[in-house]
Amino acid sequence: MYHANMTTTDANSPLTPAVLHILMALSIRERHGYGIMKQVEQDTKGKVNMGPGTLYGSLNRMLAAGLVSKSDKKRDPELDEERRVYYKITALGQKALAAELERYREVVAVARQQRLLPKAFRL
Amino acid sequence: MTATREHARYRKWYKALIGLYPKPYLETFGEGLEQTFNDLLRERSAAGRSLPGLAAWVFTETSVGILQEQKLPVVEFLKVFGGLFWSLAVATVTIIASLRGYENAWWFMLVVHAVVSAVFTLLYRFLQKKGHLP
Repeated sequence: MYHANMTTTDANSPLTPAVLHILMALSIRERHGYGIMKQVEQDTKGKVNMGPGTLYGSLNRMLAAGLVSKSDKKRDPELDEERRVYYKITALGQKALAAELERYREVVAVARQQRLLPKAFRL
Repeated sequence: MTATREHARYRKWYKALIGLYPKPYLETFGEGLEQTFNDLLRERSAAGRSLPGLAAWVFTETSVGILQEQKLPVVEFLKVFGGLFWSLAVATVTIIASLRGYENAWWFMLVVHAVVSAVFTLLYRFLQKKGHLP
């Protein structure tokens, strides 16, 4: 079940942009907070810069909703000696992500059908 | 000023700022918030870019997050005690205004209401921080 603060009520409900990007970043592998931020930045080609306040606020709600879980603290050899909490996507999180991507696919299909997309994106 | 000292100063300020998060939230995410901020400082320094811009962005962004996390207890408290508080505030201001001959001075009423609200809010935050209120 999702947390009351989320705008969603089940795995098929729409996700906020921050939640979507975090789930996408975690769908490849588990990451710590900074790792999630960097992956989101890379995925969006720098268009989305998520700060710590947004990131951990979203993670808080996603943990409560069961979309992500925490794993044991461990070192990131690419950073420093500090041990960090890693977050990973859950089965419910994968289901919610799949449902959201399917919604996006349907929206793009409608936009294409109605010739709303810029020429560069048309097949 | 060396980069290390500048980092230490920003980290100290950031630690003070995140202290305003609710206690359970801070216990869960405080360390992660600090580590992430430190990682951002290090990345910015390594790229040879200045830190004040980063600090301003992160501090603002985190402050918004603090307000969001703090909102619920305040709203719940006001739901319970809001009516009582406003009744007392209006009665107090009306009595003061009539005693001083300011019955028709709307600005006086407004200022006193604002002061009473501010004092009450600060008192509430103080008691909440001490653990006497939700």
